[in-house]
Amino acid sequence: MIDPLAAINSYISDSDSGATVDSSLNDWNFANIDKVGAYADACLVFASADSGEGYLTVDGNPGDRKNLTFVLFLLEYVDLALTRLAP
Amino acid sequence: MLFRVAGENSKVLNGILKSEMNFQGFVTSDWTSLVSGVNSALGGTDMNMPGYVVIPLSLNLTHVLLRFKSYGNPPDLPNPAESDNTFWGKFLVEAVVNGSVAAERLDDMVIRPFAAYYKMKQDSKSFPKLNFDVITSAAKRPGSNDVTNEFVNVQADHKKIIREVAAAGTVLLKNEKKALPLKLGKGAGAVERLGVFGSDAGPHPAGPNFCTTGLPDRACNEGTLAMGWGSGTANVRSVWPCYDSHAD
Repeated sequence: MIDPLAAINSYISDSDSGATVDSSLNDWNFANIDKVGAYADACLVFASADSGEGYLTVDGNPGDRKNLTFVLFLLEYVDLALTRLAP
Repeated sequence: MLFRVAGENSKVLNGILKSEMNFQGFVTSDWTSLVSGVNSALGGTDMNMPGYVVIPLSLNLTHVLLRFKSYGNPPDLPNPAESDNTFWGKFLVEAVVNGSVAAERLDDMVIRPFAAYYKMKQDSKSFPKLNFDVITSAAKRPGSNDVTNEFVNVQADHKKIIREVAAAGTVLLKNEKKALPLKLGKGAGAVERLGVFGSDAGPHPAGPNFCTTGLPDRACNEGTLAMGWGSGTANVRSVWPCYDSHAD
């Protein structure tokens, strides 16, 4: 399985565009998100909302989701990253 | 569905699926999903997975026990038609004999799975041998010398259709100021430095098939999300040659 960052890195290094990639993979390291977001010309934000089967409970979700926490988080996160795009 | 459990829902299985849509395959239950014998057979279920059976604890059935049983577990008998650890087994034989389930329906329940068996050429000598053990993902069961998993690579060129499905499933909700596609390089409107954010963009800290918590069956959301969690998860190859990722 190829993660998006590896694929993007590969694509850009093959592109001869001279562009570079910086990443901030820790969802909760806001200082680093701010830092990378401040000097990036464009931001790609990856987030997901997971669910599963009832015999395993993840973050209080017994299979089916009990709320939309990750989705709300995604929106806040996208907003946060996008505000860094403003010149 | 329509006020009736799926496994005995004649309107959905016999009416919509097998008649209107002319589905020629077979309908199988999930584990523990069959809730009846006769009604499920008449409702359109063709195959039964392991599940619960009702064990009467009193003569007037005021107390019953639901117990998980599956063929292959005791009390078990060599002949499935004599087995009493399922809603079917010997009870289906009885239902056909006493007329509750027509013999034609029983024939249909047998023909449908076997039609799939022959369609996939499972009777052919070149059909791969079973290469899977539900008990272990190792090559052998603990304490056994028999190899039950030879780790046969069945990927073939499936990545082409995976790529196609992923692209077709991507929805662009809006594209303000024509931000996409990104123009890489220098100059006005070009992207010289690209920022990538979020744990979903990166590798899995414990490897793609595991969780840092040690929980089984992908019961976590770490790294790129490839599948939800549960018993249906399958392992992906964790090592991939770099040149493959360049191909697209």
